[in-house]
Amino acid sequence: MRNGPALVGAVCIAIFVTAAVLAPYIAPYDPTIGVLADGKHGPSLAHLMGTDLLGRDEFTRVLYGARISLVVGVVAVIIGLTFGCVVGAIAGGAGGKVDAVLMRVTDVLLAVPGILLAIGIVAWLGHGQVQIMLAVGISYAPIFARLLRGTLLSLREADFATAARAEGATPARVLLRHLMPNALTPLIVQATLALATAIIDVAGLGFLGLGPGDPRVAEWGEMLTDSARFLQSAPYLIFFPGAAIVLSAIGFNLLGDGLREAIDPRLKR
Amino acid sequence: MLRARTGSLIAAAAIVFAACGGSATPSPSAAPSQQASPSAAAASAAASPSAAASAAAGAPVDGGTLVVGLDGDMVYADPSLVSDGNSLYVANQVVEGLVGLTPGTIGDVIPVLAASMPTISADGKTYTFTLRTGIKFHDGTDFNAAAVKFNYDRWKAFPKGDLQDNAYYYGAVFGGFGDASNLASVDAPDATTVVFNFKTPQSNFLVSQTLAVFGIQSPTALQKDKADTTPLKDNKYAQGQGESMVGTGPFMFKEWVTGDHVTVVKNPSYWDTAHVAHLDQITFQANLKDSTAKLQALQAGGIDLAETISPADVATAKSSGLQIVDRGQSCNTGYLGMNQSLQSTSGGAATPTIYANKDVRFAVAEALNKQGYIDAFYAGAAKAPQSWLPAGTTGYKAENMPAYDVNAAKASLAKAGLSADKLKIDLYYPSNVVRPYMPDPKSLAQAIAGDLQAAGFTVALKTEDWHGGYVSHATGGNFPLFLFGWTCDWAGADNFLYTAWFGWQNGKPNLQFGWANPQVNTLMTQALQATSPDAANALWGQVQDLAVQDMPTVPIVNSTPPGAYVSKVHGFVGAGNQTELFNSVWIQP
Amino acid sequence: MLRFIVRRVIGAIPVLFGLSIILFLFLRLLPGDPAEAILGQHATPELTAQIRTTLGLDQPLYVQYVNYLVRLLHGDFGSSFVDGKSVADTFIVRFPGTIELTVGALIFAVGLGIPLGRLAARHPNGWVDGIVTVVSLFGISIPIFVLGYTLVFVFGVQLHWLPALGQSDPRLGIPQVTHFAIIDALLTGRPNAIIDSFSHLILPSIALGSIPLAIVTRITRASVIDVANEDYVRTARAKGLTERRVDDRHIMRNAWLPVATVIGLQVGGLLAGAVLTETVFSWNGVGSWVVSAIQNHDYIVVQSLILIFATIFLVVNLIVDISYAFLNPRIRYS
Repeated sequence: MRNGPALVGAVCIAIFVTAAVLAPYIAPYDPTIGVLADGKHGPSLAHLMGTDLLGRDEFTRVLYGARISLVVGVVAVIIGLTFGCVVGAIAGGAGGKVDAVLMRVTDVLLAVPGILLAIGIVAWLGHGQVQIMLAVGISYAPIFARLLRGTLLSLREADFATAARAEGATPARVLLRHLMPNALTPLIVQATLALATAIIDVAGLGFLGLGPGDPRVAEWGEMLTDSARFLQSAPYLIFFPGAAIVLSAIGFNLLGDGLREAIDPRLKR
Repeated sequence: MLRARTGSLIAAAAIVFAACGGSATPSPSAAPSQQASPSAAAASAAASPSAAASAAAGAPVDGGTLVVGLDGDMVYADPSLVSDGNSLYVANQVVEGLVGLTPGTIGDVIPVLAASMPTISADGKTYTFTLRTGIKFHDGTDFNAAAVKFNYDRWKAFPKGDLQDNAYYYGAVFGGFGDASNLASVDAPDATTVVFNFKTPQSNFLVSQTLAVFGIQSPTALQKDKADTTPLKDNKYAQGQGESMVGTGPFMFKEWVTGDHVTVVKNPSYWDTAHVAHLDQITFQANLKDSTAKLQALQAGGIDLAETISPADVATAKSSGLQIVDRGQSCNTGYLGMNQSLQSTSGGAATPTIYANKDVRFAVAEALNKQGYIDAFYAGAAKAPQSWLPAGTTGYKAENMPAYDVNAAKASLAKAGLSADKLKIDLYYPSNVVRPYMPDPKSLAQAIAGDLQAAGFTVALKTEDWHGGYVSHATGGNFPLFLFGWTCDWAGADNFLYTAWFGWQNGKPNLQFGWANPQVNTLMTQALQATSPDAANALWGQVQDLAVQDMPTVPIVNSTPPGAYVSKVHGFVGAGNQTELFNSVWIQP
Repeated sequence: MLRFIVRRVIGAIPVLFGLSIILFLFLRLLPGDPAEAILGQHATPELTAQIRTTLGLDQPLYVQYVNYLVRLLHGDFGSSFVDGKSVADTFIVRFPGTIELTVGALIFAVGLGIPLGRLAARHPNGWVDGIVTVVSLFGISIPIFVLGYTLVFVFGVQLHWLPALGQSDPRLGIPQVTHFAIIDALLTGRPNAIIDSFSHLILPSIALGSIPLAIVTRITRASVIDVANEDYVRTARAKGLTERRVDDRHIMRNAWLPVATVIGLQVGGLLAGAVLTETVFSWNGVGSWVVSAIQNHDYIVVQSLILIFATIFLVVNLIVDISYAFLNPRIRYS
C-alpha cells in the first residue's frame, strides 16, 4: 500500500491487537489483584506504569484493557452496522413513502443525543458490558442507515442497476446482488472511523457512571474515568490509558482515511 | 478598595481597643463559640486549627462576599419541606429554632431562640420553654410565643399530598401528622412562654429540634406568600420567588437561581449582637457536580470554600496552599450489611442466607482491613468504629469489635462448615453516588471483595444505581450482602439504632438484615420512651452489647468528610454533621 | 418552497407524537423511582408508596399518558417530581447556558476549522496538511472531559489566565435577566463584567468544539480539494483569475454545502458533548439537567426535554436544508 498514513494506522492497530492477544503471557501481574498499601505509586522498575488506587499494576491493566476495549468497540460497531444496514437497505431499496417515513424516524433518533440514548439503555437494562455495547451500537445505527440509504439511492440510477432491471431482475434481487456490494465500501470506511469513536464513547459513558459490570475487570475507558479525579495527584493513571485510547482511535482513523482514499476514485492523484 | 480601607480601619481600631484592655470586638479565639457554655473549651479544641489561623491573621474584618461550593442544589426554599443536606446547609444560616448546637459539635444542644433549656415535667410529657425577647424576623415582625405556636401548628396540619410527602422530618420525629402526631398540642400562654404537650414521652425531642427543618419562620411572611400552596410548583415561597425563608438568623435569603446558586445577605440587626455576621454576602454555588471541577475551582479562585472535597484530593489541596476543614466528630456510619433472610423482589417467600449463621458473620467481620480502607479511600479522615454509633453521639457505648485477622476469619468460616459452592457470594454496591461515609463505593467494594476472597469466599460484584433502586432494594431486604450507611439526622442513638437499622416494623425485624432478636426491639422501644437521658442511654448501651454479640452487620467506618477553603478565609468551624454556621467567617482582604 | 416547508412540518408531527409515546413507556420501564430521589436514604416502602400516589404514578399507564399529552397540548410541559419546579421555568433559566456553549463551540470550530481546512487543502498530502490532520485527529480522539480538565489545569490553575468554572464570577453580582451570561453582562454596561463573561466562555468552547473543529477541518479540506478539481474552477484559473478569487467565489460557496450538513448533524452531537462539558466546567445548562433528571427518574422532565430537543433538531435541519437552496441555486425544492 502506497498510502503512508494508512500504513501507520494499520501498524498501530496491529500493535494493540497483538498486545491484547498476548496479554496473559506477557503481563507481569494479575490485573485484578493488588495490595492496598501499594496503591497510587508512580512508575517504577517494579511497576512500569505505576499502580492504581487499589494497588494493581497499571501496565498489566493496560494490556488486559486492550482486550476489552477493542472487543467492545468492534461489537458495538457491528451492532450499529446490523441495525443500520437493515433500515438503510429497506429505505434505499424501497424508496418513496417507506423511505420518507424511515428517514424521518432516523432523523428523530439522531436528534436524541447518543449519550442520552445510552444512558437510557443502561438505566433500563442495568450495568454490564453487553448493555454498553448495545447502547453505543444502537446510537450509531441511524448514521449507518442514512449513509447506506443515500448510497443506494444514488446507485439505483446507475447503469449497471438499470441494466439488471432491464434483464428482468426483481427489486429484491437488484438490491441484494447488485446494489449492496457496491454500497458496502463507503460503509466499511465509516465503520472503521466509527470504531475510533466507539472506544471514546464507551469511555465517556464511564465518566457519567455507566461503566461495565465488574469494576475489577480492566477496561481503558473505565480506567480513564476512575482516574480523571487524579489529574493532579497521579497523572500517570490518566496518561497511560488515555494514550492507549487516543492512539488506538487515531490508528483506526488513519486506517479508515486510507481505505477511503484507496477506494474513492475521485480522490486518486 | 473602599472595603479594604474600612477593613484596615476596623482592624486598627480593634487592635487599639484590645491593647487598651477594653474589648469592643470579641477576640479571635472566642469568635467560634456562639454562647459562653461549658462546652466552649471543647468547641475551640475542635476548631483549633482555624482558630489558630485566625488568631495569627489578626482581628476579624467585616465585609466581602464568600463563594461557597455546595454539594448540590437546594430543593425548596421552605426549610420545613426539605430533608436533603444542601437545602439544610443554606437554611442553617437563615432560620433558627428553639434549640441549636454549639458550633463544631454534633450533639451539644444549647438554647438559641429559647432563653434557656426547657423545664421537663416528671412524666416527660410536658416541655416548657421561656423565649428570648427583642427578636425580630427578617421582615421586621416580632418573634414571640404565638409565632412558635403558629409554626408547629402549621406543620402538624400539613394535608396529605405534596406537603406531607416533603415534610419528612416532622413525620419521622413526631410519628405522623394531625391526630397521628405524638405532639398533642403547643400552647402559648403568654408572649414568652411555649408549652409542648406530648402523648407519650419522647427522649429524642430536644436533639431533633436542632435541625433547621424546625426553624421558626415569620407567620406574616408564611401567610402573605401562601406558603402552603400546592402543587409546589405554584408555591412562590417554596420556590424562592418573593419573600422566602424568613427567619431570625444572621443571614437573610436574597435569591435563588435554579441549578446555579443561592444568595444570602447579612442581617445587620441580628439579635445576638456579639455574633453578627462579618460577611456581607454568601453565594452558595450549586452547580459543582464533579470533585475535580471543585478542586480546580478552589485552586483557581473561582470558589472560596468547598463544603466537601474528595478524599483523593486532600493531599493535592494541601500542597496547593488550601486549608482543609477538620470536621472533628463523625456523625455517620458506613457498613457492610448482611441479610439473614433474603426478600424476593417478586413478592414470594423469603429465603434464608448463609449470613443466618453467626460464624459466617464473624468470618466476614474478621476479614475486613478497615484501617487499610481508611488510609486508601478516606485520606485518613475516618475512624474504624468501636460500636454501631459514632463516638460522641448520645447513647454511644464502646464495644470490643473483632480485629482484622485473616486467620481468624478462615477459622470462623471453617467452623461454619459450608461447601465451596455456598461460599460464592454477591456483594452489592451503589453507583453514581458519593456519600459522606462512602466517597468511593466502587473502590471500597473492590477492596472488600479482595479481603473476603483472601478469607475463602468467592465474590461477584454487583451494582445498582443509587437513584435507580439501590436504596429501596437495600432497605427492602433484596440484597444478601451490600454496602450501605447512614448519615445522622441528629446525633442520637435512636436515629441510628432504631430509625436506620434495627427498629422492628409491622411486628417484624427490619428487612435490611432480618435480625430476629425480639429483645432488641423491646429495649429500643423502652429507650425511646425513657423519661431521663441516663435511663435512655443505659438501654441503648444494652442494645449495642447485643449487637456486638450477634454481629448483624459490620460497621466499617465513621468518617468526617474533608472540606477545603482558600487561606484568606478565617473563622470557619466545621462540624461532623455539617451543620455549620457562617456568621463567624471573615475574609482577609 | 413554502409547500416544502409545510410538508416537512406536517411530517414531523406524527414523528414527535410517536417519540413521546416511546419515551413515556421507556421511562416507566426504568427500575427505580422518583420517590427515591426525593427521599434519599430515608426511603421506606410506605413513604415511597405515599409519594407515588401523590405524583399520580399508581394510575394506569394510559391515564398518565393522556394526562401528560393533554397538558402538553395546553402548553404545560409539566414539573419536576424532585423539586417541584415547572419544566418551562427551569428551561428558561438553563437553556441559554447551553446555547451559549454551543454557539461558542461552533464559532470556535467553524472560525478555526474552515481556514485550517483551506490551508491543508492548498497542498494536499504536504507537511502542512499532515500537521493539520494529526491535530484534528487528536481533537476527535481525546475524550472531552480529559481535554476539559487539562485546559482548566493549565490555564486556570497554573497560569491563572482563565476561570475554572461557571458562566460568570458571582462576586461581580451580575443580575440574571436573560440568563445568557454574555447578554446579561452587556446589559450592565460594565466592562469588567463583559470581559468576565467572555473569559468564562473560552475554555468550555474549546473543549466542546474540539470534535466539531476536527470534523469541519476535514470536511472543508475534502470538499475544497474536490471542488478545486472541478471543470469550472479549472476554467476560472485558465481564465487568469487569481488563486484568491478562485478560492472565494467558486470553491468556498460550493464547499459550504457539506459543511452546512455537518453543522446540522452536529447539533445532536454538540448536545451530547454539552452534557460532559457542562459537568466539567460546572455550567448551568440543560445537558447536565437532563442527565440528572434521568438519574433521578424525573420522568416528566426527561420526556418534555427530549421532545423539545427533537423539535429543535428537526427545525435546525429544516433551516440547513433551506439554506442549501440559497447557497446553490441549482437545488430547488418542490
